Amino acid sequence: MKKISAILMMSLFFLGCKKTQVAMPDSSQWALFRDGAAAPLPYATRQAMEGVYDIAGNDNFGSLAALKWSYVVNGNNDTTYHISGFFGKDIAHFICEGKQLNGQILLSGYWRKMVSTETGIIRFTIDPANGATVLLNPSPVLPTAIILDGLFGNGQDEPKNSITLSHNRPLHNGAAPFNILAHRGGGRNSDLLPVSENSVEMILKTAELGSTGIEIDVRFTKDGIPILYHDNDINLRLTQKSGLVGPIENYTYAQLNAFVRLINGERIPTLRQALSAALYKTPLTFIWLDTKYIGSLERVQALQFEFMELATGLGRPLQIVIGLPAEAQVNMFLELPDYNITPSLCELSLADVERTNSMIWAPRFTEGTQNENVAAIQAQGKKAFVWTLDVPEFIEQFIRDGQFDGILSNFPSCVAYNYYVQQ
Amino acid sequence: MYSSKLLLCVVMLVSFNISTAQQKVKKERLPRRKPSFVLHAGGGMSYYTAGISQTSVAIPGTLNKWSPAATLRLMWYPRYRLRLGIESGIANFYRYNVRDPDGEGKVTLQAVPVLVVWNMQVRPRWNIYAGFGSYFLTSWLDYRGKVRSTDVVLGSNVAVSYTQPINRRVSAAAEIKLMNAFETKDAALTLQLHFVWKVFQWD
Repeated sequence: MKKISAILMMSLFFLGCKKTQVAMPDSSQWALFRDGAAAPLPYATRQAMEGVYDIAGNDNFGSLAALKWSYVVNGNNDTTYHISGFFGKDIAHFICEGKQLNGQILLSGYWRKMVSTETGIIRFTIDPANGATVLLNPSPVLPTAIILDGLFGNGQDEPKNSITLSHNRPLHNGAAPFNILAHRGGGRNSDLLPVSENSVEMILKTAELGSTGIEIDVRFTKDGIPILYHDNDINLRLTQKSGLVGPIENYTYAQLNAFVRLINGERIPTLRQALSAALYKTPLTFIWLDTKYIGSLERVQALQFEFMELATGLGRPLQIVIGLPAEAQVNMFLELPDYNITPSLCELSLADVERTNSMIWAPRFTEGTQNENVAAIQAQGKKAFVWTLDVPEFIEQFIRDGQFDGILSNFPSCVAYNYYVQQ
Repeated sequence: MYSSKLLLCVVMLVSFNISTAQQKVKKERLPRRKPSFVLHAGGGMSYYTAGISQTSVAIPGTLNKWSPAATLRLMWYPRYRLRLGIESGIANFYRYNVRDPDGEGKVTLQAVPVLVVWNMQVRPRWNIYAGFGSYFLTSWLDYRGKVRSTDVVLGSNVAVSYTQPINRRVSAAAEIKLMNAFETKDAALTLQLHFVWKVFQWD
C-alpha cells in the first residue's frame, strides 16, 4: 500500500508539473472548401452575415453566438477574412474562413474553449434556401432568415456533431464605439494560444478573438530600442531556451534578435514592428503602450506621434496612448515635451488624470463599476476603461451595470460575446 | 518566484531541525565514531541532459553539452547516519556557436550551485547525497559585443559516491551526480573524482 501511495505521489508530482499544449486542429482537409471553383465571399455578404445567432442541436457552446468578421493583411493585395463566433459557454469561440461554391456559403475552421484545452474542427454550410441566395446578392436585403448548418469534432477527428445557428438579430452597437482590448497583444502564454504574447503574430491574430484594440508591454534593450516584452528577465515563461539569462535590458536588440525566440518561436518584436503590423495589417483601432520600465519616454512618444500621423494619412482610425501605471511613469511622462497634448492613459486617481491631461482613465476592476466617477470623466470628454477583467461573470456584470468605454481582458472573445449579444 | 524562495527557506529550516533533533538521542545509544567536518573537493566532466532545441536560435550552430565540472562540499558528520553540509562548484551547462549574415557568436551558460546537502551512508563506502538550494546562472555572450548576465534560480541535486579510504583522514571518492536547476529546466549529469579530507574531528 505504501509503495502504491508513493508511486501515486510521484506521478502527481511529475504529471502535475507537465505543461499542457493545445494542438490546433488542421482544418484544411474539407474537400468541398478546397474545391478550385470555391470563391471568396464579397464584402456585402460578409457584412450581412454578422449578427447574433440562436444555437440549436447542441448544448456544447451555450444558447447564443455572436458572429463577426475580421481581417488580416498577409501581403500586397492578399487579405484573409475570418468570421469569428463568440459563445457564452466556457469562453468558447470559433474562427473560420468563408467561401462560396455553387450557390452555397461554406465556412471552415476550428473551435476552442479557453477554459480548457478542448478544440476541434468546425464547418458550416448555408444552403441557397437557408439564406445563401439573399446573402450572395450584390445588395443583400435584410433581415432575412439565415441558417448555418454545422458539424464539429474533437481534436483532429472528422466533424460529426451537428450544430445549427439561426440568425436572431444584428450585433449590439452602442451609441459610442466600445473598446474590446486584448491584454499582452492578444492573450497570455498561459492560455495556450498558438502564438506568443506580445508578438507580431499575436497582434495579427487578436482581431479574430474579438479585439478592437490591444495593450502591449514596452521595454528597452541595452542599445535603446523599444521592444515588446513583459517580464524583467529572460525566462522560460516567455522564451525558449537560449542560454541567455538575466534582465532583458542587458542585451542589445541585435543579440536578442539572433539568440532569443519567444515561446512559440517568434522573434521579440520592436515597438516599431508591432505598431506597423497593427496599422497596416489589422483592423485594430486602439493601442495601449504599457510602460514596463522607468526611464525617458521620448522614444516611445516619437513612435506614437509617427504612427498616429501615418494612420491619419491613411484615413485609418487608430489611437495610440502611453500607459501610466504608477507614479514613476507619471513623473517621466510629465518631463516629456508636449506631454499635455500626448495621448495617454492614466491608471491612477482622477486627480492624476487631470495632472497628466490623460484622455483615458483606467482603474483596476477591483474598484467596482464606479459609475459616478466614470460619468464625471466622460463629462470632460474623456474615456474610462477598466482592467483586467477575465472572469466571465464579472465581464457580464461590468457590461450590464457599468458605463465604461472599454474593457481590457485576456479573453477578448468573452468581452465580445457579452457586448454584442446585448439587447 | 516568492513562493519558491519561501519553499527554500522552509526546506532549510526543516533540514536544520532534523539535524539538531539527532542531538537529543541519549549519549549511551550513540555510535562510537566521532563528529567531524569533512571537505570534499574534486572535478570531472558534466553532460547536459535536459532538452534544448537548436532551432530556437537563428542559425543552428555547434552545440556542446560536455564541460569540465568541479565540486566543493563541506559536510558535518555527526554521530548519526544523516549528515548535513553545503555544496558549491562550477560547470557549464552548455555552449553553442551561431553564424548569421551579421557575424559569428557564441553563448555559454555557466552554473554555480549553492546547495544545502544531506548525505547518508547506505552501504559500507557507498554514500547518497541530495541537495536543495540555488543555482547562480551566468550567460557569457559574445556576439556584436560581449555580455555577462546572471540570474539566480532554484535547483537541486542528487548523487551517489563510492569512497576508498587512503588513511585515517584522507579518502578518494568517485561520484555520479545529477545537477538540476529545475526553475529553468536545466540539468546535467556529472562524473567526478573527489579528494575527501577529514578537516576537523572532536569529542
